[in-house]
Amino acid sequence: MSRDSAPSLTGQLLTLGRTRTGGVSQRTRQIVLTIATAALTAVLLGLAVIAATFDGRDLRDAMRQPIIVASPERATAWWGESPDHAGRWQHSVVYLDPIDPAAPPPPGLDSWPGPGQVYLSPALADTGPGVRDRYGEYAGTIGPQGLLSPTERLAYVGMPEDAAVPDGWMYPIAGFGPPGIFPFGEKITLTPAAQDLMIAVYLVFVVLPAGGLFVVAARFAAAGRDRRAALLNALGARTRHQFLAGLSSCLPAILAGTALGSAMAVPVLLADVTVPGIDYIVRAADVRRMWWFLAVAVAVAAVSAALGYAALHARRAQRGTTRPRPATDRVATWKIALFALFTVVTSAAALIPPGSPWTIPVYAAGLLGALAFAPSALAALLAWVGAAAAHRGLRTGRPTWIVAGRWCQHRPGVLARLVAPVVIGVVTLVNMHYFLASETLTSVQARQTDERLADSALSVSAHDLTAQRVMEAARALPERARLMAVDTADEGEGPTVLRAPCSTLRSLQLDCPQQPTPVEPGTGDIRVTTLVDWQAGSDVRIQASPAPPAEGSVEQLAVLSPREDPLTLAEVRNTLHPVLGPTTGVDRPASLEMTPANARLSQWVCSWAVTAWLCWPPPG
Amino acid sequence: MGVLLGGYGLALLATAGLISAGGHIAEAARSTAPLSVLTGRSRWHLGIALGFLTAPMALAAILSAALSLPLGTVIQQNRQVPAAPPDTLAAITLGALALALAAGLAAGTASARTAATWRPGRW
Repeated sequence: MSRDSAPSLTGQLLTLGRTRTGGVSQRTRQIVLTIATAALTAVLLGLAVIAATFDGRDLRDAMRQPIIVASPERATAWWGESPDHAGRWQHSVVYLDPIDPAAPPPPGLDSWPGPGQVYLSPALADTGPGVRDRYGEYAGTIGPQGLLSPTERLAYVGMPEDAAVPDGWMYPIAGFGPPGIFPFGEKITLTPAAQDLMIAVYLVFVVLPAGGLFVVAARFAAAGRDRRAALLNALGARTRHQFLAGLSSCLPAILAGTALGSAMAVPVLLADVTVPGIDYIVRAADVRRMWWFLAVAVAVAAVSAALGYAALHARRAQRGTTRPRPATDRVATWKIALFALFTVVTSAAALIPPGSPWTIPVYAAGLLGALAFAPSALAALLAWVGAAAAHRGLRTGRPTWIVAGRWCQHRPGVLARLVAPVVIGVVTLVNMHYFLASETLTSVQARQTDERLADSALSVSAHDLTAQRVMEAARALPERARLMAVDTADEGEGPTVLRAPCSTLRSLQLDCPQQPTPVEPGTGDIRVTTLVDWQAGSDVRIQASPAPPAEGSVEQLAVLSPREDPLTLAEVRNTLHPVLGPTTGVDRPASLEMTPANARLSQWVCSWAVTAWLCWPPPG
Repeated sequence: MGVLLGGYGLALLATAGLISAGGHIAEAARSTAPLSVLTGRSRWHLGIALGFLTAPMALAAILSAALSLPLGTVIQQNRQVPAAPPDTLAAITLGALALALAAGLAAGTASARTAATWRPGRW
């Protein structure tokens, strides 16, 4: 063979990298690396999709913001917003009253809604029967360019000419566009900090574990490659040479994994996709608009994989040793001691007197600490069990016991990595389930009360409930409904007076006093006791008098219906909203509160994810 | 959302843990392959995988469930409302035990198949 025909050093290194180094087959390693690369690519693409989605939302939100002006003379329209409910979810109702009909309407509408006309987002229009007619005459749907997401619930309503609203309830606006910051629509529930929070949670929950998978895959069955790297090092190879040999061994897996991971983005580029479990629809248009985010994510994944898989060997080989790093045989005693300490702290939380503010913090701190050190403590325990099993295997002639026992005894780091996902997974699932399933006493009482009432008593609030408007409301409701006026105390002083005709009071098992008379505790049927317990103060009186006020207006109304044939909340909302106007609020007397556990769930899960990484031992 | 992303993260962690353990099981299989071929007892591999994979994972699941037990008492004391039923804890633990058994069986079977192709000097 002539000198010219000899392969170059680079060619030799690339060929060397593709040869098998012992241990698992090259195919198995390629599969593992492909899985890890695909996971990394898909996870980074997910990050790009999140960024693109929020970017699209912000853009549309900015374009529909009202430009509020100080002087009504400069205004082209009046703009007002009111929250309402349909089913379990809150939504925004935006009232519009154009001054200059030639001015552009808000994004998503072709023209301004006429007085009493309603445009609904598709998600709100499909909520249930009656919603389309609740605010007026249904005129169509809001276009996608006017909605933050396809699932947003929003209504644009042309202000009815006779609507009763307080002074200053509507704002004079000069059009729509940045830099407004008025929160409405989905912005009610998704605060401006949501994007940062979402990305932070995604980084901790998904990107970091994917990074862990990446590192573990890079070191998968690495003993043979470590020996080869050590040999190359002894022969004078530099980082570049090690990198070439390493890259050659994993290039097919990087290409296959990147392609596989990239395929995950295809559905979201082609059509709107619903995120499973939370029913959020990701808009394909947002993702397509920021396509270069995806391209960058794929490039970063491929380059990271190439550098990571190859560099992890190159760097290790530079340590100047010709032997692979020996595995650690023992778990540090202090880790076991700390696990025991934190376990005791966790258990001690159950001994703290009920109602103490320290219970949950002590439990959380103890649990996080115990979780952090549980894998190491378990590995130490398993090493001890393994030694005993190997000893017994020797005595009884069981080779399986000897081999498995010795592996457990001398590979505590491997065991710690093996049991860490199990420990974190089981504890996280159990804690999540407990906190999601548990309720505060108040929320349970509210739910049980609402279940017993079955909407036979509902509270109604609205601006300027004069006698005429109360009578209009009474006429609009079905015949079996009765109205009771609730004149709440002024700024917490004075009694709350419940006023209704004698027939209504008697149907509630109450007396019929002509003057305000205190209600004895436990008097009346469940509708009265609920109103008293949840809506009124301690000083409650009843009076036999028509619900419409003789003069002025009523603070609140209660809509009562027979318990055997009650009205429904949606029915009353849909009936009263057109009568009482934009400020109408209809709700159950005992509104469900959100459990504190649900409210704190994200912090809990975040803490667990951080702990997962604290207790994740370095690969080796 | 946190639950959803946490689920993804746990799945990735579990995959990483299984790959890591699988690599070491493969090393164990390499060591014992000549012996199992010579003696014709491929069940060794299953026993080793059950001892090195299933037993630690099962023990971890049981101890983790025990670690979560005080939570039920804490919640009941502070909210005075029955929390999650105990069978939820049992279901989660049984699920983890099933996963551990499946991992051990899969690794043992794969090791036995690999050992069946052993020939001198190859490894």
